[in-house]
Order: sequence, then structure tokens, then C-alpha cells
Amino acid sequence: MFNTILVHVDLSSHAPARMRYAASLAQNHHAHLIGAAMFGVSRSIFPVGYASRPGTLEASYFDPLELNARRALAQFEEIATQTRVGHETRVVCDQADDGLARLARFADLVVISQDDPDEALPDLAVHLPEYVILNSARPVLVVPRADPPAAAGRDVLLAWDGSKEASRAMSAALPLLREASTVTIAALTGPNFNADEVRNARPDLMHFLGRHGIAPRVLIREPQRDAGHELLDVAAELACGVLVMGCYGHGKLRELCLGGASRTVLAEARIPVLLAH
Amino acid sequence: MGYKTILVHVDASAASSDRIRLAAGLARAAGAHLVGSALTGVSRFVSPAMAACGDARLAERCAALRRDAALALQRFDALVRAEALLSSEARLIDDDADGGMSVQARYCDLVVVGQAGAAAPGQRDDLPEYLLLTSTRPVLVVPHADHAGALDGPALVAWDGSVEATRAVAGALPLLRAARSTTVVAFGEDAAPCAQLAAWLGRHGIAARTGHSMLDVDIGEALLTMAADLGAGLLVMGGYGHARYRELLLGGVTATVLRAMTLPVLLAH
Repeated sequence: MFNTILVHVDLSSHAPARMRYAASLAQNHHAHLIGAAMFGVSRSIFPVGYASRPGTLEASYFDPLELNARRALAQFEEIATQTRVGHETRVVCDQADDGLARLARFADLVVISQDDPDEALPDLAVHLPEYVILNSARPVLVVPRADPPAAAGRDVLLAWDGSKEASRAMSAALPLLREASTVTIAALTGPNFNADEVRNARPDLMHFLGRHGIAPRVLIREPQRDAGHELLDVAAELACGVLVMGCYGHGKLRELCLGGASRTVLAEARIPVLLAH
Repeated sequence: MGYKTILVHVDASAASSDRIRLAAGLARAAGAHLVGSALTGVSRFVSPAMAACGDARLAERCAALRRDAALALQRFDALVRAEALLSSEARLIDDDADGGMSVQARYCDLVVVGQAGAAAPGQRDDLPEYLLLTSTRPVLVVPHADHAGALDGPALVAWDGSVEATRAVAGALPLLRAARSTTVVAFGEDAAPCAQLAAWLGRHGIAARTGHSMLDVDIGEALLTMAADLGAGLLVMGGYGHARYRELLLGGVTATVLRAMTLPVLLAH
């Protein structure tokens, strides 16, 4: 169950859509919503938090950052109050990436935005979605920069290739799948995963989901181009509102590189994507 | 999410019955479907046709392995009947215990296996570690020694803020909800997040007590002592947060607990 949802709060032009999406999710799942605005300076600089000393040089650098965080949280407060969800605000003395990954430990779902190349905010110098997905133990819902309406997402597409990553994403997304009006499993075949394997695993898959009250249909497709684009195509054809997929971590040494499919999807998705690692 | 499908490893070992009873009790309490899975040990790459055209001794050996597994499943059936479960199935699968369980784990919410050291002769003896590292589900390891506490007695959660510990707590939520009490013990210098963990657990309906330990050696032993002092029926912890070679060289919390545990332990990686 999603009982605690964590949403990234900042001054991005996409923040209102992201916060509205998170608030409506919290409403549907009767969850508590935590809005976290990051100060933008690593916690290693201010291990016990930032305390302003007015008139100092330090204050002239850092007070505006704190002010930005508070302004962003005021927007959040307004949206959360409108939506009438139980909520709380946090100013976190850390960078956006690490602050979110650490707070994710005490949430059931994290909501962030897709990177927008046209909008370079100073605290988003790293690829935020990649970092949070790979460093948080929780599923991450990435709201696209197309700013979808909060109500979207009744039809869900679940990417399936039989891997343990896909399996982890499936189980992390159960609350979302339960709320969906339809669930379609897109089984993309490939060199390591043929249609026979899909058919063999199908009863187990259907029963597992069935016992959670989910009755999906299964679509077996041989990708015409790469898996990432194929998934986005299928999602568009079926007019799905959310895509659920696992992603590969590639071991600790290559943690900053996501696999091809998730990279494509993160770059190009126009619908919300739930990723689990 | 409650557990809806529970997978239990069925084998010819003496500890198998206790493990099945524990899994069946859980399934009944959760209203879950119980899958009892016996792996023959015959490789999934050896088809019956291949075995038949080989040496007669090979076919005989395969038949014997299948017979043992089938016998173990009969015991599963009897135990499940005695527990009056509404929904269960017995599976006989040609595969190694580790690979076979790992694949099936993808279609369940919780895996129940026995502690290593009690495997039937000829079986691999690192099933808990293997499943922990290769399956995506929480693994409940049942000790082979008799354990006095009930699974729904007091629960102890080992917390170090890691991704592994976070996954373990999330995977244990249904068990913690059923536990008589939940105690979280945090390790490391930073005790503050413990309050946030307690708040998050609170929203899942679990009132947890929190404590803090400055210990940084022999954590495994300390955990087991704490569990014994609490009269705990369940220990929840992340597993193998450190690289495997480091665990091999230095020994690790996970390895210590898996070796010396006398109560059920839920692990996630």
C-alpha cells in the first residue's frame, strides 16, 4: 500500500504538475504526502543543517537558497491543501539527488519529474531521475515534462521480460495496478526471452496478480526497434496513462549508467513512468 | 500489500515439516495461496528424452530423485490438510533447488526456506544466501533448531539506514503488523532517522519502539542476543549490504546471523 508518498518540491516550471499528480495519487491511495524541498547544498557542508547568521557573507550566499526552498514549499502547501490530503513539508539541508534518495527510505513511493533539457536549474546538474531510481530502495514515479493532468493514469502498461528487475517493478507497483481500470502486460521478446517462455510463465504471472485482485491481459510483441521505443509505442497505441518497468543497475561500478531501454524511456516518455531498481 | 502468494521450499530434510507448518500458518492468517515446491535436483537442461537415451543408471538416478521429491510433497500435502488451508498447490520441478526456487520467487510475495546446514545429502547448502542475492522477494529463513517463540511474538528490526534494510522492513510489513510488538534497533552514528522510520511504520499501523546501539563489531552476535532477551519471534534485517568478497574475508553480520540464528529471520537484499 502507498501510505506515505514523497514528492520533490522545487521552483521548476514542472513542479506544479508534479505536485498535483502526487497529491491526486495521495488522495486516491489515502496516503500521507510529504513535500521535500532541498536546500541545494550537500549535507556534508552543513551536517547539522543551515542556520542563518544575518549580515554575514555566508548568509548572502545561502539565505536565498533557503528562501527558494520555502517559496517552493508554499506552492506545495497550497496544492496539498486544495486537494485535501494529509501532508507535511520538509526543508532538507542537502542536494536534491541525495536528499530525495535518503528520504525515500521513509516513503512508499517517490514522485519526481523527468529531466527537461530546456530548463537547467542549478541543483539539477546531475540527472536526478537516474540518481534517485538507482539509490533509493523505493519505486520512483517520474512525471513527464509534458505535464500530464493529475487524473491521467487509469490504464497501466507493465513491461515484462521475465527478469528479476521486472519482477521487482511489478511487486512495487501493486497498489497502482490495483487502482487501474485496465492492466496490460507487454512482454517484449528478444534473444534472451522468447514467446515460449512468456507462455510458460503466463499461468504463474496471471495467478500471482490475480491473487492481488488484478486481471491483466498479456500482449506478446516482437520489437520492431529497440525495447524502449517499442514500450512507448505500445503505451501510445493503447492510450495507457502509466508505464511500469524495471531497470538494470549494472553493478556498483556502473551505477550511474542505466540500461538502454530505461534510458530511452526516461528521456522520451510523455506519460508517467514507475521505475523500480 | 499483504502476502497473497507464499512460496515454501519442500525437501526431504527433517526440518522441512516445521518450515511447511510455519508457512502454512502464515498463509492461513494472511488468506494467501501457499505453493509448496520440491526441486528434484535433476537439471532442467536434461529432458526426459535425453535421460532415456543415456545410461540406464542415469535414468534410474533421475527416477530416484523424482521419487524423493514426490515423497516430500506428500508430506507437504498432509501438513497442509492438517492446517486446513483454503488454497495451496504442490509443485514437483526438475531443477536445482537454488535456480528453481529463484525463478518461482518472481511470482510470489514471500519465500520461505530453511536455514543452511540442514539440507538433505547431495543438496547445495547455501539456499538462503542464493535466494537473497538472486530473487527480488523477501526471504524468510526458518531455523533448523527448535525455536520457542511464535512468529507473531515480539519482532526485532535491525536498522542501519541502508537500501537493504529499507527493503527488508517493507517486505516484512505484514509480519510486523501481526507481531505483538516491534522494536527497532539502529546501528551507526546517526540515530535521528530512527524517528522517521517509526513515523513511516506508524502510518502502516505499526507502533514501533526505537533504540540505538553504538556497536560496530560483532553486530550479528549482538542482534541475536537482543532477540533472545526480547523473546523475539522474528528478526528483520537487510542482507549482504557489503560486497561478497568483503563478507568472505571479514565475516559479516548476515553470515553470522544465518549461521547462528535460532529464530526465523526475514532478509532482503
